[in-house]
Amino acid sequence: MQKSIYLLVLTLLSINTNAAFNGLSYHSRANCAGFNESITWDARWYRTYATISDHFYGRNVHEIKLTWEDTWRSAAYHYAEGYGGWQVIGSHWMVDERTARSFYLGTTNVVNCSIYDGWWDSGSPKLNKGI
Amino acid sequence: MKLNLIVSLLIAPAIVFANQPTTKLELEQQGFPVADGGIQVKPLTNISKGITAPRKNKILIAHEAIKKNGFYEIDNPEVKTIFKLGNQKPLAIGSSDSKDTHLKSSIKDVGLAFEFKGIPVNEKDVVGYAAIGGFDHGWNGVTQIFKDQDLGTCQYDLYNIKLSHGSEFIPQELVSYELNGKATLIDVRGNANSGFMYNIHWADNTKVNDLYCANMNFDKAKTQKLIELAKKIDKSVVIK
Repeated sequence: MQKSIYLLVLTLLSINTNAAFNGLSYHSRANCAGFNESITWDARWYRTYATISDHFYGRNVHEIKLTWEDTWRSAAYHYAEGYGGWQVIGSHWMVDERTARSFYLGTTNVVNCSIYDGWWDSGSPKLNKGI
Repeated sequence: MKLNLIVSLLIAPAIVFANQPTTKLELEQQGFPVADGGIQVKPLTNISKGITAPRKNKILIAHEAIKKNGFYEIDNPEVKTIFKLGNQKPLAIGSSDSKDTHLKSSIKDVGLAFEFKGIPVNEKDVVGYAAIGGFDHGWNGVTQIFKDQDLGTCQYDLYNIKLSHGSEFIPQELVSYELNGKATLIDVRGNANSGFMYNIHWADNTKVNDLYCANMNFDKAKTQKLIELAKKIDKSVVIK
């Protein structure tokens, strides 16, 4: 069962329909039948990102901290949890490598797996890093 | 097992697990801009811990080239990205599902959490609008893609940091106050092969803005036109 969900997730991540992706975005999702996550991403180009995802379950808490990474998608993703009762709080940053400006985008705070259409539609942008 | 290994390898770099959330004070000490921190202009050495020292040197070299020649010469694949965005066909009017992040024909269909009427360009030149930023009872960011006879294919990104509680550090070595006295960064880079990306970034305590224009040619007059357009945009977009 878990393997099936995993395959589904990986399949979704690999879909490339050349759909529109138009800018820098961030979100968290909780209780997604086997995972919790916080994601900061921009399919247009590579930038430097940091994402922190704090996962709360009653009195239990843990944090996944993705330190600065040159990527188009910073995913603080936790597999094998998120079957109900979790709260996920994400914090999201981006540094523009061309100018070093450092942008705190905001915080996301969720208890459900609400998904928005489009976020998985684009494959990795075919760009060279570090312009 | 094999799948687990692949996933582990995919997520392994740069992950730190902890059993307590990092505090705001700890984040500040680690060099992160934090919630409601406003726009702060700081020396390059004191900001952006995510950028390595060699990269910072490269940033300064590029900045000097832009000051001297008007642009930094480099093959710039991001020009093509903006051209591609400009070739999209937006969804039809009435595609009003706010969780659909594809390009839309009408700003009303995007599902913003704040009032935005679009920027002052001819309606016939607008390619479309889309959500960016984060979602909480509506999107706190929006992008508008349009064509300009002189500037080429352009994209304006707006992040409402009053809603998102966002903040930003801007390097003092690069900053100017060209945009109505607000902290401004101007970056033009490309070459004859890739084309050129003209970008102006400006920010105040309510909004963070980027205007990108992709054009196959370099001309200092285009940079000036970009600045003038950004000034008009800044005056027309008021965050209440």
